[in-house]
Order: sequence, then structure tokens, then C-alpha cells
Amino acid sequence: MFSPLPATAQLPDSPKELYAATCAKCHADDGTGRLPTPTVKNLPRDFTNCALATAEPDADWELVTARGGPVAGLSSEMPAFGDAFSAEQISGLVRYARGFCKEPGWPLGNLNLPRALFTEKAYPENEFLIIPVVSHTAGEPASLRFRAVYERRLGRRAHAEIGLPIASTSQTGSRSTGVGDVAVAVKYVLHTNNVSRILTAGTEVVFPTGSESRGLGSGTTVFEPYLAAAALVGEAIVQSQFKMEFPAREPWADREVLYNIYVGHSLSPAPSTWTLALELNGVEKQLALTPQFRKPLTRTGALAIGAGVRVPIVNRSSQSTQVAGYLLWEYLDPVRSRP
Amino acid sequence: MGISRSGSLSALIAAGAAVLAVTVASPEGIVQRAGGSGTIRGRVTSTAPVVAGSLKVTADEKICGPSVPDEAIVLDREGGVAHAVIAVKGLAWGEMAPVRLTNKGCRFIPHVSVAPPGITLEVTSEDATLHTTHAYAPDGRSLFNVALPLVGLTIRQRVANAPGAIRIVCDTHPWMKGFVYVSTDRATASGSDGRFVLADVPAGSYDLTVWHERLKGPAQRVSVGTGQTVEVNFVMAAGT
Repeated sequence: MFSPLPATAQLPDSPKELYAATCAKCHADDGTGRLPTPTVKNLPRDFTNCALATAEPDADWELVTARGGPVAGLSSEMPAFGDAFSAEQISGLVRYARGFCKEPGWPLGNLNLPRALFTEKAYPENEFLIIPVVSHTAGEPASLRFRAVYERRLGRRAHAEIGLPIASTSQTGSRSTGVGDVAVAVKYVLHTNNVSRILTAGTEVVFPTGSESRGLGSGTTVFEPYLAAAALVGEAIVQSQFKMEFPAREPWADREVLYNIYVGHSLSPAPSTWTLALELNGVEKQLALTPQFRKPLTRTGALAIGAGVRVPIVNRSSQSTQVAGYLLWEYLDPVRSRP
Repeated sequence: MGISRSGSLSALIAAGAAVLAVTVASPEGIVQRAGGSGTIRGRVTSTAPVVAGSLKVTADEKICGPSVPDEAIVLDREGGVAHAVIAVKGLAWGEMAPVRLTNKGCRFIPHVSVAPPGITLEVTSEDATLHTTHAYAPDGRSLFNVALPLVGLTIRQRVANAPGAIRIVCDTHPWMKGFVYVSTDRATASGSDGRFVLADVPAGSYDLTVWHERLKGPAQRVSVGTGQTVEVNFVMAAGT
């Protein structure tokens, strides 16, 4: 017969004891997932590995604990605890499990937010991106630009990237296609409260590798320092960037100021959910709005696409309308779901 | 593991080839589904001697004990085979209560249950340890995996629509194995003496199939007359 006690009365109160009584059966008392006699066939993620244990939001961990591994493309040997544990117990367990990373200074993935089309992401990433942009200004042929970007985390808070563009533009009736201006960039997380705010500083340097005469490059090195900040405000995702562009051969007065503000909302906590957003993009006094979406292509979220249309809202005749998108691959995460 | 026999495999296969005659306690030429109903009953047997095996417990020995019985092939003294599923082809299920699956003594009770597609499975535990009830479809896909860390917790989980033997395992106690046999046709599992009964079968002719996790037996055709009981026996041989 069943115990006369209410089911929850049998569970220990503290997350540590609850972890020991349940999670540790497979994840081990020390969080490494290594047991003298392993129980599961897929070795669990090592919670003490900070690079692995910090990169995703608490919500992902809570979802996997409540609904099981397959909800995020992880092993089906991770069972669903949603019928056994309360939401408070699950969030306590997640907090405890994330505490196995003992190195300070790793920004928690709660601020690892969906990538915007133009606003720089404040959280460092290991990603490879293909970014197509089609631009059209009234009375002119469309121009096309593809950028391949490789991004890599460096240590706990830094990130470096290199971008190689292929451009196709039309000038005076003839179309030119070739390499554009190659960009390298670094950024560093200055501050995060790991829950709802992050501030990052970075700079991009764009080299004049593209032919200026064929309309493929700017003809000068451009220094582009920026600040990127993000916040979670209730259910809304807010991301912003303030950037200045200093072309090396231009006078100081010809610098440009760019600013982007993104407000978005993810439809569920699952890594594979849709995110819908609106961006305000400013270059000096030119303003544009970019409605957009992001949708992961796999349950793990390791492959995703984003797309949107940047529509000028002032000086419409001189600004171009752009259709922009990205295909991203988080190359350290498994693309396919685990069995 | 699995079968623990002192007899040889060839003897088993030879025995399996000799299916016992179907005894039809009714006149020939019954018209399919003619009005009333009868009963199909019988016994599933295997002739080779079996030594009861056990599985070593590798976790939670205080709760599970040092070993648990190996239930892959369970025979009684007369050779009756438990946990065989007998299905009546073309016969629909009646109303079915949810099927209950209990984690008890670090075993699944019952070891084999039968269910129509889409029925709700009630999974529960009587052990004060973390069990997981992990179901795999016949093609190896994971269907669901629920954690049962508490005595008395009951989780309702819908069984897959596709017919076939759903394998149930516990990931924290790897020796634990069971089956939920999903059948579109009405079916039942043999008891510990190998016996089974299917009552209220509408009069008519039917093909009966037998499934077992390790053993195999041939399908048989029976005719059921109104108010009559048909006896059908299956002799099982080692599967390939």
C-alpha cells in the first residue's frame, strides 16, 4: 500500500539534500556525473565545468528538470520531475546544481539572449554566422552582402570575432561582386548581475580590404567602439547598443553615431521557441524600424535563423530598405538531439 | 541474464515445433460474429526445464536487496509460461480502465501488461528511492521518462498509439525491465501458471497470436460458438 503521508512530506527540504536524494543518483554528489557504477548510458553534463554550466539560462535548466532532457534535445535518460517536484523545488535544485561551478566571474546564461539583427549581443558566444543583407534605395538597383562571422569566447568574459563579407553592388549600371571590408572585433563583459542586467564594451576595426572604386569597401580603416547593454524587464527582452564610427582618414567631425534598441519576447522558455521583436535603428538622425523573428531549427537551439525588414521611418527617399537575416550555429553545442 | 536453462536450445526448438492441437468444443462452421459470445481460454507452456535466475542489484541495495528475480522467462513447475500476451485478431477492446504500473522492490509490477493504443498508464512507486519509468517504442525511440522520487506518487502518462511491445526501463536501476504490450486487438497476458482467459468473445472464427519477450509461438485459428468455451494451448520455443 502507499504511504499515508502526503507525497511531498517524504522529500528533504533543502536543495542540497534533495539533490543528494535524487539528482546525485546520476549526476553524482560532486556534480561531475561520474559515478563508480554509472547508472545512465549517456554521461551527464559536468556541472563543475563552468564553460558548460554557465552558458544557458536558468529557465532552460528548469524546463529540462520539469519536462525531461528531450525538451531541449538532451538525453531522454534525464526524466521529467515536473509531477514530483514543485516549481520552487526545481528552481532550488537548479540554483544548487549551478553552484558546482566554483570559479567566479562567469556571466550566467540568463543574459544569453536571442540575437538581434543589428543590435550587438552583450553576452559572449561561440557561434558561426552567415548574415545576408539585401539593400534597396529608391531608384537604384539592389545591393547584396553576405557576411561570414566566426565568434569565439575567450576565458570567462571576453569574446573575439572576425567577419568576412562578400558584396555585390551596382554602380553606374555595372554590377561588382567581390570581397568587402574585413572586420575584427573584441568585446568584454564589464558587469552583470547574472539575473537581469549585463553591460559589455567592445570595439570593431574594419579594414579596407574591399575595393572602394567598385563600391565594395569604404577605402579606409574604421574604428568602431561601442557599449552594449541588455536587460530582462518582466517578459520583455531589451537589448541596446551605442556605437561610434571613426574612419581613419576622415576628420573628427565626420564620425558617425549609431544606436540600436531592441525589444523582444520569446513565446516559451524552450530553447527551440520563437522570438518576436522590434528594433529601432539610428544612424545620426536617420531612423529605421526592424520587425523581426528568431527561430531555432533544432531542439537543442544550436542552429537558428533570424530575419526581418529594416524600414526607414525618416528621410525615406535617401535611406535604403533592407531585408536582413542570419543563420547561426552554436558550434560547441550538439546540433542533433541526444538519444 | 534472461533465460537460465539446464536443457539445450535444440530441445527447446523441437518442442516449440510441436504445437498442441486446438480443441474446439463447438460444432464446425460457426458463422462469424453470429449473435452470442463464448470464451477462449488456455495455457502457454514451454517444455524445457528452467532454473529461476536472478539479477544482481548494483544500486540501493538497502531498498532493493542484493538481487531481484530475472523475469525475462518465468515458468512454473509444469512449464506454464507467465507474461505471454495472447491477442485475438480483429477483436475490439471493450471499455478499459487505466493500466497501472508499479515500481515495487525495484521491479516493475506487472512485468508485462497489455493495453489498447492511447490508453492512460498510471505509473506509481512503493519504493523510497528515485525510480524513473522510461518507455521506449519498439523502434527504439524514447516515448516518455518520468521521475518517481516518492512513495505513493502516481503519474498518468498516455501510452503510444502505435501497436507493439513498449519496453520500460528504470535508468537509475538498470536491471529493471518491463513491457507494456500495446495491441489494437483485444489481448491478455498469461498468469504465473501460464493460463489465460478471454471472456465475452463474440461467436466467430479468429486468429490468435502470442507474444513473449524472449520466446516465440505460432498463431492459431479458433472458432468460438455461443455459450461455449474454446481451449487453446501454445507451446513456446526460444525466439531468434
